[in-house]
Amino acid sequence: MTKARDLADLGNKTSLDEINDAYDAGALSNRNLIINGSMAIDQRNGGSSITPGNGTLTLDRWKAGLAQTSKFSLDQDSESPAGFTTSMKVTSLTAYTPSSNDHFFIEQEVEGYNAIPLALGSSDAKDISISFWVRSSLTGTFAGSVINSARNRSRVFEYTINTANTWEYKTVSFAGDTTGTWLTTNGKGITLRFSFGAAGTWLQNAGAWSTGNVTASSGSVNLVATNNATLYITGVQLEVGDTATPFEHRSYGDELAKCQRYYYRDNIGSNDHALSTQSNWNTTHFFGPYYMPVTMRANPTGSYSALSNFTLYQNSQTRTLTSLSFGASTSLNSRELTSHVSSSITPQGGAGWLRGQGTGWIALDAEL
Amino acid sequence: MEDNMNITTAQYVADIASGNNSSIKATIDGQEMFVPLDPANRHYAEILKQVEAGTLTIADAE
Repeated sequence: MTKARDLADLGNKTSLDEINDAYDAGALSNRNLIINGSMAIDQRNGGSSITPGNGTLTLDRWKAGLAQTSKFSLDQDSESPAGFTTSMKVTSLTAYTPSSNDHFFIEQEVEGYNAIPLALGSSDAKDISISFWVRSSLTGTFAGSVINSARNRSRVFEYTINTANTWEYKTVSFAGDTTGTWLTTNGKGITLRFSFGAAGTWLQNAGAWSTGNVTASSGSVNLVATNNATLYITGVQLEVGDTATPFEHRSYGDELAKCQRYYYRDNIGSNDHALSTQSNWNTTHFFGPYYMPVTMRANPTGSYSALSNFTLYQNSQTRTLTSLSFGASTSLNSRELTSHVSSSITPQGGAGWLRGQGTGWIALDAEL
Repeated sequence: MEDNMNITTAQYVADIASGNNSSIKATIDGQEMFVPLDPANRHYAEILKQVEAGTLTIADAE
């Protein structure tokens, strides 16, 4: 029975067992394994267009892959179908025909913990359904793929854009892979990829699982081959089952929290605010915790904007920092911030607080 | 996909209390970053990979 059927029949179920079966099948909530499928969250760039490098994280949870630089740009765009307010816009910056082993795509790596219900790599592997809204200035057969962590099991899928510059809803369903290794840890579980151009070893016929790391089918549209060609995509969903269900809209807060497991950016903005309560270990070093809003996937990398965006407030004075660093203490929930000052401050153990100012930011990165 | 991180500097940071290496201060794609010694962290995994390949050396802590 499909999840769509489960949903439709839910009102007619008369026994608790039947209702439990529908719930266990994932029919009611948390169907979508894709985070930020509505392209609503863009912590890094705030909607600004970027020309990505290979591996550049763009809109939250979405990563660019490319073999040649400066062939396409990405941005969060307001162009969207009914029921959405944002999409990811891909713009070809050139008329480049992929050759050799070229590849151009965006992908989302789903954490293994979230891919457990797919039961991939076992005889119990579940069907997979992928659905999304897409609009392009080009028509024809486009392609994407799904891949495992080791990049040695993958499957190409195709979809057809029938009318230029018109939003179209696409669904693809296929049987899950019963072989290969598919992580069910905090590593990469399953990766969903949308191709903008590929050649050579990145090509594979659609419709069957194969070894290797493939992206598109031979003959599928190469967006980067047409200068100024555009493709918008939103409402991306990957779920268990042989039938795609309507896009699972989550609240903005829920979606942001899911993104923050992988990346959190604290933009100081116009309202300066305290970041960390600190105490001096010695006369020039102050320590204090910086807490993340959600438990992150792994111990995160810390970074910040410019030193001039941070000041230590202590004993009725502002202390100019000579450096700021993320210290030894780290966990999935906090990192230690160490403020260094030039002036000798006594007594040790005195308290202060670290304040962020202006255009400053702190970022924690635990992406896959 | 293999990420192409451009790591230009890497230096261990010692914990001021214990003196043990606690993280790596690295310049990655032009941004100074503080990378924890966690194999599940993608930056640390890439640093180890580039060290193994002989293309990156991690300097001792100051």
